Amino acid sequence: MPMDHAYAEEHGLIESYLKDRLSESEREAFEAHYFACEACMEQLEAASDFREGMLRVAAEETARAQVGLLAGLALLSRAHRLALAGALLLLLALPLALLITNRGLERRLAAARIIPAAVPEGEPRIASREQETAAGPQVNLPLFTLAAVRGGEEAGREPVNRVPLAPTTPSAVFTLELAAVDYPSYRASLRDESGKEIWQARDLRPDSRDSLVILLPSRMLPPGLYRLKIEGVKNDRKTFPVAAYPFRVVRP
Amino acid sequence: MSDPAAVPPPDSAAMADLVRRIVSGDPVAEAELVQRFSRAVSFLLRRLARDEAMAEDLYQETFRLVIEKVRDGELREAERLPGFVSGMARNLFLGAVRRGGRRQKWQAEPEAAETAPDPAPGQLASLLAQERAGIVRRVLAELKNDRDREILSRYYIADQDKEEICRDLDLSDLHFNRVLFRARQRYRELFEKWQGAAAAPQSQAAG
Repeated sequence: MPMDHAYAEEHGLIESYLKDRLSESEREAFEAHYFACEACMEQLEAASDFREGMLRVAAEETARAQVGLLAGLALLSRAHRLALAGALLLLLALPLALLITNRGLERRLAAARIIPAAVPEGEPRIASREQETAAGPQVNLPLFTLAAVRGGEEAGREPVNRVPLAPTTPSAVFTLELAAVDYPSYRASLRDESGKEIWQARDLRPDSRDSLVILLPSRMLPPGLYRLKIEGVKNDRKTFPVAAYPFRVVRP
Repeated sequence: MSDPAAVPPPDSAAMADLVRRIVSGDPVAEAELVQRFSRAVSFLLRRLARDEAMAEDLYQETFRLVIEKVRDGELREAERLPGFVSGMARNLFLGAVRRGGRRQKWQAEPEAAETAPDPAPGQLASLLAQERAGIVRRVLAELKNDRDREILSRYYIADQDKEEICRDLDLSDLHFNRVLFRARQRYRELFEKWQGAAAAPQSQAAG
């Protein structure tokens, strides 16, 4: 169905499109429109670039403050670098987790924490000793490949996945291999023993080996039982369960 | 909400002419079609695939199939050409995902795995991403108040909805749109300036 430029502008379709918030018919109509509309194409590219840039800045800030992953990458094998490329994507979701778990009054603080000072690259920045230590290179980050439970999960049964995490370990990397890639994107949610959601991320895409690689800060994972659920998301935003990864965090 | 179908796209006559020329076997028209939709096809496929090599494969395939089908008269309404091209690109992507993407290709042809491109972003893409982040930092630093910075963080990073942000921060739609629009405009200005500066030494060297 053809769409005119005024309609696209009036309804803010560029941003909605980039956030995957359009219905299938709206999305099809808007794609047909911007394929023919130079002005929308330019705005779309600028908006997409800006969005990517914002996410990258957030990832850099998060990585600087919490993990020395980027510096550690150089020490890893090519295979691990590929796996960690997925982890970088998910690093972007960490600030989101902070926001989700601290809704309400902490929202303002959390959003400000995402981009603490917006200091341009290259200018001096003030960092605490703790942050400076965390931002240094780190090696031997623990990597865990979690086994999936695709059905018949018994309540109260001890999960096969055990994750020994020392309190001094800053972060852990989790690899989840999907049996098949049947959906355009995926949603992940992590719940603790009480069933409370402590982290979630959406619009995830598996890497070239059909795996999702997630990096989680250890402070999110005190000893206990957890359940990481992966759902496939169709274009109409409907979700379908794909796999669950129960695991227990223990002190080594 | 107004009817999105109320006004036809401005160049539907040009689309009809392009289709007519392709059907009649004009190779210049085929090149014109590629030129006209190249940017949009590339944008859509990169967005969907998030893999340069896969997007590149699908880009070639999209134009090959579109031209073939238009030549064969399978596009009955010429003004629907843009939707036909975008739909083709998306369907090819979904087909590739269903088949297991490039991985299956390398499994089916083990010898091809030797030449399989690295799915990690290339140097140019990494450089561009770095530069974009640097420009975003400048845009953020230029913002006059923390609230505007918070709006952008919540919208782009925390993925909150416009309505939710406006309600929490007591903002009007207009104010919200203005913050986003100005940030994007400023980003574009700075990016174009950077592109100009990056191109200048090359043209000097060429001249």
